[in-house]
Amino acid sequence: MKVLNLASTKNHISKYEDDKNNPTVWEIGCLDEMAAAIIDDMSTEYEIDKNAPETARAKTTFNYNKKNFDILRLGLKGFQNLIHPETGKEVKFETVATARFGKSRNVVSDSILMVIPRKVRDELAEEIKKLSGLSEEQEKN
Amino acid sequence: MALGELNLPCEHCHENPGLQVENGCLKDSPVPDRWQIGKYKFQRCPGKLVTAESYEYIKAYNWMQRGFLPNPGGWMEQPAKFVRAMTIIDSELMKREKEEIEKIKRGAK
Repeated sequence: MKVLNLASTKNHISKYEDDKNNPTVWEIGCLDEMAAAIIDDMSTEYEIDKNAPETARAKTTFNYNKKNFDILRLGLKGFQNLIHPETGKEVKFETVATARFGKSRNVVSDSILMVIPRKVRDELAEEIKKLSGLSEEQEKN
Repeated sequence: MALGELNLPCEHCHENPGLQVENGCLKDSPVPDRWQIGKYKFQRCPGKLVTAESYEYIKAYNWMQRGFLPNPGGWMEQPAKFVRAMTIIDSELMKREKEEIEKIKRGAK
């Protein structure tokens, strides 16, 4: 029942990992339906000019990076061997309570997200999205 | 037979070509309603049609019909993947029911 268990996780090693002998192992999980829906809603904003609604003067904002941060907040469940780039010490996994995603949850703290390099954050967010959705092949089956 | 146990005798079929035909291993079985999952019947061996992951989703769909979800909480607290899978399975079953009804209506004319 692993595919259905919200608590089940998968270990992932980044393709950008420098230390192949002692890599950081990221523990990721899938998103629940409520969180996925809220993140999707927050990722794109569309605003029309209220003084000229018929015109094309609309503003669209794609919050790609913000979306990836949110996906990581919810989908990153732990890690091993993450070394702080400034202190050289191992980072301890921490969560904080929040009510941002539809209900009270424990999510990864911002201080930890800021330690993760951007390209690794983007990669992890993609992996979490893959875990949370069905591939075309899975849909067909 | 219900697929529930997924105890398909693949080794026996591979050793016996007659069984392969009967069980619908390589193509549809000539035996009417050879396989059954719940109320759904198949002519092809389910082992050839369904991956282990899909089997979990189908099992979950049957439990959902009885009112049980795989994780604590309501619908919105389930994995997004699960919700998508249930929507697909439900949609496919409704399609097939509609096809069956159309077939019956055409037969009645």
